[in-house]
Amino acid sequence: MAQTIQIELADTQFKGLEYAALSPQDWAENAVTERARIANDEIVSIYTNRALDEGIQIPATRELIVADAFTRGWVKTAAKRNEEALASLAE
Amino acid sequence: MAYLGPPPSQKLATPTSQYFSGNGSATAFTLNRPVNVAEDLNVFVNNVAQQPGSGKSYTATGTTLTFDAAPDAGTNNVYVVYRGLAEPTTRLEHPSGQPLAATTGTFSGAVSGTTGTFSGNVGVGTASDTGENHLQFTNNAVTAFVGVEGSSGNRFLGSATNNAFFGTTGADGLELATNNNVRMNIDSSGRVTMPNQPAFHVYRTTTVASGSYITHNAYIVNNGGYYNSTNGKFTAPVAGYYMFYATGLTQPTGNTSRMKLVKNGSANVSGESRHQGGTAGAYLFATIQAVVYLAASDWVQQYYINDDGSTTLYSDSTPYITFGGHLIG
Repeated sequence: MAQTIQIELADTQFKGLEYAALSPQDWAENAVTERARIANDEIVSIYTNRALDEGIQIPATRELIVADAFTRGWVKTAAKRNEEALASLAE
Repeated sequence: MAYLGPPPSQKLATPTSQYFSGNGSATAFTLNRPVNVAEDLNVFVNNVAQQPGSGKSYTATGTTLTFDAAPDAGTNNVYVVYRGLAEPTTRLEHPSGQPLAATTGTFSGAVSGTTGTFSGNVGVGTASDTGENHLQFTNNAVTAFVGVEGSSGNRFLGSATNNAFFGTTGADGLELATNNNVRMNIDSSGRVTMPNQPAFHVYRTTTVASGSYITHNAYIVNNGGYYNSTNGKFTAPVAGYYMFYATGLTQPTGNTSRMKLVKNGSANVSGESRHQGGTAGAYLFATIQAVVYLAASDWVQQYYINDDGSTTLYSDSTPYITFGGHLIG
């Protein structure tokens, strides 16, 4: 299921983006999708290495690998990692 | 061996004392603490010891000290030492200049000294040092270690002759880490490596149509994966100065071929590698280098156009079309 991220910019902020890029929409989309692609590459790498080490069959697609990585807990969201880090500090 | 009697004192005792000021008329003075007999006190008047007992210099009972004659007037000229009521204290004063030998301990107050040897770990602001041979400082959940790890080498953070020093004094390398991963390494000979530095070198083995942002079908280096072969964009992961280069083989054939680097779809950040004229079948090698400042998420692409709108930028398996760059800092 696709997710939508919506942001609202003040006129001045939008003018700044128009100065920086030919298309503010393209710039924003590229920033978000590229960061997601880099993160997914990292997840696929983490998953593949661990699956090979543990003898687990690697899913056929990148989408399935990313989903299974979260299901198995091999990777965690930044919010979850932050929560665990704060909890360990309190111990 | 059996022991009879009261347990030995496990505390040091500090005698207490008290001053009075005589006025030439008062013979009775109030003590800070009660006594049983005059002999519980050593009394001095004008630095002269007084004889205890009835009919002698003074008597004392309860909290009253009574002289047989009024002491002379003077400030603090009457001095009393309580002999039988020494005040116990749990405070242990460590002799200055003496080595302190201990394996554990907690100091809640100031600690000063000039010498000492700790065989274990030392924690400052923390109950336990989790490292090995460390001096650990902890405050507000932030921890810093100073010391040595491993069986060889001297590594420390501190000061060397008034200059900040961070490194090794032995034949060891120095590693800088974030997020528990080494990000920068300086070996013992001073060679610096930064394994996570964004860098890429990609190429294309087929020709490119005029008026195209070039995509590259193969890469030699794409450290961090910041180059995207789908759209030909290198997207900056962090703000900073980047060095870029690009090459291509133009076929101007009487027209003008232009190759350049474009930021965020519009800004020409490299100048232009332009070839004009030329005879049919002639090839000219185009090159571009540029240092570009990019904000995080800005992108750079390689762009080619021929003014005739159709002549391609040539490449084959050699290849001729390349694009690369890296973060300077």
